[in-house]
Formats: sequence, C-alpha cells, structure tokens
Amino acid sequence: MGVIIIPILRLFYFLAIITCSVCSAKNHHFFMPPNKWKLADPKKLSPMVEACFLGKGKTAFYPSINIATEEIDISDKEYISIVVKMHKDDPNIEFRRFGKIKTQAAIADLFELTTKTNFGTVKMLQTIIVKDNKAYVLTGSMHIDDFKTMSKTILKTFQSFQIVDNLTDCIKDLEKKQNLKKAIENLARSKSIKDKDWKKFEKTVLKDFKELGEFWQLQVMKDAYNNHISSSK
Amino acid sequence: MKQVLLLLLLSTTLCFNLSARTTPREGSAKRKASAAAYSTFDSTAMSMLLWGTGLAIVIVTAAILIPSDSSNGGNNHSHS
Repeated sequence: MGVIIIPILRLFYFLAIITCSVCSAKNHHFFMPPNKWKLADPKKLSPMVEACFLGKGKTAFYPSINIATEEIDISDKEYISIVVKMHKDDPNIEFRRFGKIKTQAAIADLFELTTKTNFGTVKMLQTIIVKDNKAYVLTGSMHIDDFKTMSKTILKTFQSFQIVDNLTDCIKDLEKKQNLKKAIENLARSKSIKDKDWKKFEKTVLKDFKELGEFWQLQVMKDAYNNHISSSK
Repeated sequence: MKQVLLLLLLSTTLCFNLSARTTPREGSAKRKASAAAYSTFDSTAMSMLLWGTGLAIVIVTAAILIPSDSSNGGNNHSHS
C-alpha cells in the first residue's frame, strides 16, 4: 500500500511546492517615461503613488504621468466600476470613456477626465490594469492647450506599460544581463551595503540601461535595495 | 507508515496555505479604489508645483525613498 501512496504523495507534495512558488512570484512593472521628463520628488507623492514624471508644456501647468498601485481582492470589472462611480460622483470632474488602450501588459479601459484648476482647464487620461489581485492605475494630466500634442505622448507611455516576473528579463544584451544579476545578488548577500559598492551599482544601472527608461532604472534600484534589506534582516 | 503520515500532513498544510492565498478574506476587500483616487489627485497636484521644487534631485535617492510597500507610503498631502 505504502509503495503506491508514498510516490503519489511525494508527487503531490512537490507539485504543491511548485504551485506555491508560482503563487508567491513577485511581479514587477514599469513604463517608459517620455524623453526628458523628470522624476518627481517621491517625498511629495501621495500614498500608493509609486512614481510621477513631469514634463514641460505650453503653460505653467506641467504635464505629468504617475502610477499608483494597490492590492485588491475584487475582480477587475468591480474595481473599474468603483473607479468610474467615484469619478462620476465627483462634481469637479467631467468623466468620459475614451475607448480601450493596448498596453504591453493587457488591453485596458481608457478614461478622460476634465477638471478646472487655478491654471485653467486640465485634461487627464487614466487607464487601469488589474493583474494577480493588483490594480495598476496610470494617470496622465495636461493643460487643455497641450492636449493635442501631449495626449499622444501620454498614450504612448501607457502603451509601454508592462508587467514582468523579473526586471532583468527586459535586457537584451546577455552579458549586461548576467552582470546586473550578479551585482544584485552581491548586494543582497552583503551584510551592509558599502557606499562604494552602491555607487558602482547605481552607475551601472544608470549608464548601461538608459534604453529601458528611468522608471525601469528606479524599479531595479528599489528592488535591489529591498532585496538587500530583506536578506539582511 | 510514519512517512505516509508526514507527507500527508505536509500536503494538507500546503493545501490550506494555497487556499488561503486564493480565497478572498471577508472584510479585507478594497472597495474604495484608493490608488485611483490618489493617482487622480497627484496628477494635478504635482503638475501645479513650481518647476524644480517637485523634482527628485537624483533618481538613486528616489529609489531608496520610495517605500517598498506602496500602501504604507509617506504622505505630505491632505486629501479631502
């Protein structure tokens, strides 16, 4: 009896372990911010807003793109309907569905929000992607005078949004990829990050991976830093 | 027999662990779409800051400043 049961249970046990590791796989996300847009000061961001990039337009109102994320335990349809209701209930916002957008992560709903500010009328474009119980909200805003040109830039940025298992998967150059992986592992293993080592790592990420954009670079550094913190605990 | 019991116990534990991951917990549902609210708010708030004051000095400092758990992020705004 045991001859049959033990291999079956073993198989079940290993399958369960594999499933567990897949379930706990951490997703990473990033988009390509528009060229020459600057990263906003993270200290000034609201909770859940991970990053914001600011550009320059025709007016004193700077076009911006930000991303906010949150863990959810409702379906994407439910989440989006809550967001739509929230916008429709806001007396300061004029809400309009703007069709769909194909991002690298998924096809998502696109919304257009119009509001009045001290700087004049402002248009916002917003898209929401829900994957693995996480909502990713991307919002771009611009002065109405910039809408014609900036909306295209913002939509292009939305389209570049992707969710990956590993940030290093996006690196095409195999040598660079291996070197970066090794550098991340070394940082995670070291008991305390020496200033010299961290600066070398920063330099590598910023210099060698410009083509992947500042948000990707930011995510890589954040991830390496967090890996180090969690492994040194 | 001991081996069978041990594997059975491990499998059961893992099964419970898996079901706990996939079953929505009551009362924990995020029904406020906070991320969308904050994202909408910041898209105009950040755009209205003076150029320079709202920018990160260097990207590397930003990497460390942004908390790993975005849901517990530091907040300097007051949202009404």
